[in-house]
Amino acid sequence: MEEFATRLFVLALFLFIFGAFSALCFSRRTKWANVLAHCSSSLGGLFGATTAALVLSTKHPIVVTAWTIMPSVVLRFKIDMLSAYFLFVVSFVTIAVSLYSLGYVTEYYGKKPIGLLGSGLNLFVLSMITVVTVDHSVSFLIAWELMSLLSFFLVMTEHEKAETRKAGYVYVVMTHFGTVFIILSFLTLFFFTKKLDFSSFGQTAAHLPASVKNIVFLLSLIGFGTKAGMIPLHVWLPRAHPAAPSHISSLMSAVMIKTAIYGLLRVNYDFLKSGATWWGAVVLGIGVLSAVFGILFGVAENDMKRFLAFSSAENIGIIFMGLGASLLFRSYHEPLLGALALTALLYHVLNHAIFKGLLFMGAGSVLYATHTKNINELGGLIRRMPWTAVLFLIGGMSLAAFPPFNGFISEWATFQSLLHLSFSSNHPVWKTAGGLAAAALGLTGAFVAGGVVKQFGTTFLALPRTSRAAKAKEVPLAMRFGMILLAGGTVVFGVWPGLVLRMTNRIVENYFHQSLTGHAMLYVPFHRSVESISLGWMTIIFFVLLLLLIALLRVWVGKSNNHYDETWNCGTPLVPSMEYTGTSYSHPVLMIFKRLYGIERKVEVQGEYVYYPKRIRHRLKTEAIIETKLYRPLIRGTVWLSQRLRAIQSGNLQSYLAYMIITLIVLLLWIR
Amino acid sequence: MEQWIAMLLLISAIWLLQIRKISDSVPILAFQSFVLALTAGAMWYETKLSHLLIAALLTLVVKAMIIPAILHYTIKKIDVHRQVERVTSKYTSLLMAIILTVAGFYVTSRLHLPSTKFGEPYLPVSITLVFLGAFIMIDHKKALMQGIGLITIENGLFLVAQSISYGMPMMVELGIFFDMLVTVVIIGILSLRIHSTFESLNIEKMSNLKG
Repeated sequence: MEEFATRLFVLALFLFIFGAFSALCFSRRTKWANVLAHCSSSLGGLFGATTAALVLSTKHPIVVTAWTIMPSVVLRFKIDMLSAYFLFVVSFVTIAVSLYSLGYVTEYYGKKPIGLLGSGLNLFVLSMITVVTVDHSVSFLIAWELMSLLSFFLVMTEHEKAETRKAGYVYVVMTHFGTVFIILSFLTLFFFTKKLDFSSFGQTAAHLPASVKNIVFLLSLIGFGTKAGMIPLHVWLPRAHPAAPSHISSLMSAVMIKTAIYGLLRVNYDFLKSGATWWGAVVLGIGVLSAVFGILFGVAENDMKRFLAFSSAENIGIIFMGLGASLLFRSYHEPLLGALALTALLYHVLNHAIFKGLLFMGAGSVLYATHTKNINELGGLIRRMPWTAVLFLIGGMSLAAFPPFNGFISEWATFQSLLHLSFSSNHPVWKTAGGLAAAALGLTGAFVAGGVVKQFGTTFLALPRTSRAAKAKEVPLAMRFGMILLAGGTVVFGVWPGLVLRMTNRIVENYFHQSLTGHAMLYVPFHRSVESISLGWMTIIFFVLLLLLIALLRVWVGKSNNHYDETWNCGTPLVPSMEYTGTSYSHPVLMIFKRLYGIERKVEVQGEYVYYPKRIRHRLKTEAIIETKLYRPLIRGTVWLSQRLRAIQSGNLQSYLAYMIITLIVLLLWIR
Repeated sequence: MEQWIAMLLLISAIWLLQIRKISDSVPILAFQSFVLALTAGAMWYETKLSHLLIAALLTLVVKAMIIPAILHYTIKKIDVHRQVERVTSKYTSLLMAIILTVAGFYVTSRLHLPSTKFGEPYLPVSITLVFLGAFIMIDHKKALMQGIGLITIENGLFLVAQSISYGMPMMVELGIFFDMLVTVVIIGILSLRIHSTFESLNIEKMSNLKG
């Protein structure tokens, strides 16, 4: 069985390489390149997911040594339980996205080199799979850098737009900023363990002095946090994701930012193994910040893909909350609760990958059909694109954590762990923190629901606001199929959480020696005397209550009678400009959090008498507060410092020679 | 004996800093390279290592004859019989040279480099040659003198290699000689170019190129 899984994995890797090369070879024939690239990547994804499932079910890690780059620097794939889980996430989303891409890239026929695009997608997925499966820090960093660069090139697909170029620039700067910290954290580990491979890190890093561990933790948190898009290092997310082609932003948002979570788990659970209490608090704090602010910025957005990007920052916040709680429980030696929090975060990783992939594909479908992302130019699409509408709604409900979709289960588990933190912890500080974090998560959930209603309602309901929306047609079958696959995932993983628990248990057992069986996720925390509730029974009771209610109403009110008529409209014909816009829907939120958005509002009424205006102009300007208040001064300071440093660049040959000789003499003196 | 040869090398390097006309530098350089060839020859005589002989002959032919000839030709062509221009005054540069010499001897005494029996006396001088060569490049403003400083540095490095391990492997030695030759040819061509573009060989004017 192990042999079989190994072969399957190698086959998957070769399929991606084949996809990349064949797409390049057939770049003259766009159709062939499209079919070859995306069929092989979806097949590769299928094999990858199967491998992961096999490894998780048999509990036997598989090892493939691919290339000895140097003695002691080896490109070796080692799929242990954690890797297998993330491999599953990557591969599963890849299957759906590849199918979707088959249809989506037809949009680019004749405009963009399809061969390059398809080959880039294959290599991008390959690099992500490599990141989550290699077990050597050097090959990890190479794969990580490849992943960043490939995604940068894919983001730059529509490079003729100035906006895209700016997005790509911000992305590449931020991603390298993060990589520096990751390299530093690995170098610190290397400095103290004298080895570069992950297994040696795992054996020796746990016994390092506490100060070194703190440094490694902080460096890895900043490094991976940048990639994950935690606030305030999220600035690249709302730029790069909308700029990329939709199938790429779907991959980036659903999967790529999860590789950062993988890195954090690897460092915290495999290498460091134990740590100070404040680690958990820091991660929890960042999580709360990311979740609340991420969605607050998201709600204000009228650009569909920007909203989804901000919501990715929010979901990373939720995952960080789980991680923080888990680290706190670990430091207080509460294995069962730590296991619960870890499960919650792993589950949310999978769920977010699925529904965010689905939502980005939905936004892509709308873009494909209407060529706009601005929801205020859309409307009425539910009649024109019913499939997309329903699938987007499923994704949105899952995002807003509605049962029975999968987002509910993982957010529920995160709630549980936060409440446990507040009920079971003996320390008053953590009790308060847990309660507040749970409240923040509730607030986040409310805003997410509001944001989803805004996006869905403005895009799909009522009358089309522009001719673009009026002329929209349903997207091709391949795209619908890709979305259906992930929508199926949201339902399956929402209704049968046991499927995922079986996978996450393998990881959790390794780190906490504790497994969550049965309905442990649904324990209600009331100070130790835990009471279990059963999801199956809950569903049945819910439906019974619903039926009873309907029956009761029928008895009370009698048969409902409907009367269809036109909407009253003051006697004028119904026009789309009467509709509630996306901007007006989120306006109250903007007004409540005025300070946060830095709002500049201008209302101009034209006409002689104010109650009968001829024309009203309403202008609303928001500014990205984090960028103006945090990044601008930083950038200005850096530029100022660089200009001062530039003084040594005189352009004079002799002074350069003098620098060199002085350095040489100082080095020779210093060496002994 | 070795001490005297080392002394000659040192004097030639300091002399290069003190010249009045650019054309004076060429015979001094040829003299320096000639002494260098002598040291290699002497080492060959003591150790009977055949590659030292080849190195000595090559030094004699390439550094003491061909390179000075090219430099001489260049100087004649662009007709710079004028005085050299320095950043510092003549006496300051002498002071700097003495300081650098002391630094070279001090650094070598601290480093405890592994050196061969016959090469040991040359080690401090060789490092000092590197320093002085760099200082020649820094101090002089005429582009041609940069090339002469570079060759002095190269001579110093050659001597370091000889005194530590009786020279580098033959292949490396040959490569360096070839590089040197090409460098001098390029310096010659570039000097002509710079002269024809700027009507001067003063490299300070090259900072005009800075963006």
